[in-house]
Amino acid sequence: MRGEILKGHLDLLLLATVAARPGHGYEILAELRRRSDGAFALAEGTVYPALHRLEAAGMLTSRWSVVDGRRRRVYSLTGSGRRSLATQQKELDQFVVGVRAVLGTAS
Amino acid sequence: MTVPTTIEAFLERFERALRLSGRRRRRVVDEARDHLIEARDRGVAAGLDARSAEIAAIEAFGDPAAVASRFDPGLTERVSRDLDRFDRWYGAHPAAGVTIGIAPWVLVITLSWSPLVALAFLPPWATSVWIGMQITNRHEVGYRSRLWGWKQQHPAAYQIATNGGAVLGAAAYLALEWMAGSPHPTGWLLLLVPLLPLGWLLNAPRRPDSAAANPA
Repeated sequence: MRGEILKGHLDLLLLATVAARPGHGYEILAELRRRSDGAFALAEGTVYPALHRLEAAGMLTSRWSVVDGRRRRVYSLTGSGRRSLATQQKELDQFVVGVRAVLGTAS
Repeated sequence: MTVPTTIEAFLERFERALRLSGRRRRRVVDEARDHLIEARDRGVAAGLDARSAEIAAIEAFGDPAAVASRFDPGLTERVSRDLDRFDRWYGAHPAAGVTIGIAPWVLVITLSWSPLVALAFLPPWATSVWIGMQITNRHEVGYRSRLWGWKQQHPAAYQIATNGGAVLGAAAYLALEWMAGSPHPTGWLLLLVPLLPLGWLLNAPRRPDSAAANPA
């Protein structure tokens, strides 16, 4: 998938992934890859600026935690993040419906 | 520039490129280190030799300067964060800060005019203390950005919330002045009236250009 498309929806994808299960950066990335069946190929490091941005915006919260004997920064969703996720999902649904309608592929 | 081939070399270059300070910088570097070590270990577990696994982990992470640049929040956000920090400090002593700011005015009005008129400062004082308490209780970074977003979504509510305190204060002032039977004219206050719509206009969210939105 083209990077620009993915970049435009990265926040939504990360929020959805963390909503399913809190985790550290590597876990979130692996889960994102698993759930997308490998469709989203992005430089792994780019996930962290996005996670930090979402945390600064109050949508995620994080704390150091010991996972498999290692100290890891674990991210989880906040109430604000849950609301934002719902809003973004709704907006995306409307966008997809609109694009499908324009392309003449509406089901 | 050569591509770093060890995790420590990568992290050194990554840290140099980060435009973050102190604790946040350390946290970012620690997270990157954790990530790279985990990626390397998984590579080894998948059958790669340690050297190849390390290089693969570094390559998958991305260019250190490019990734580091994404942490740079940009000038607007940096200023916003600095203001957040100031607000949190201010919010830690809301009553004291606001009282010190308003006290001289209250004193001057009380001595030269009427203690009753000085009560007009009560609504803005209480509003400021309340805002300060909200900030203190939240301990959140980035609330300013969210407030800005909220402004875009609910422009009318934003206008009422931001201008309501001033309007309430002015109304209370006029009422109390009238009750106190002040000999002073209030006409000068009317000079402030044009400022309200001006503030409203300046605060108003940008509307889409109608010509661009509705091309003929």
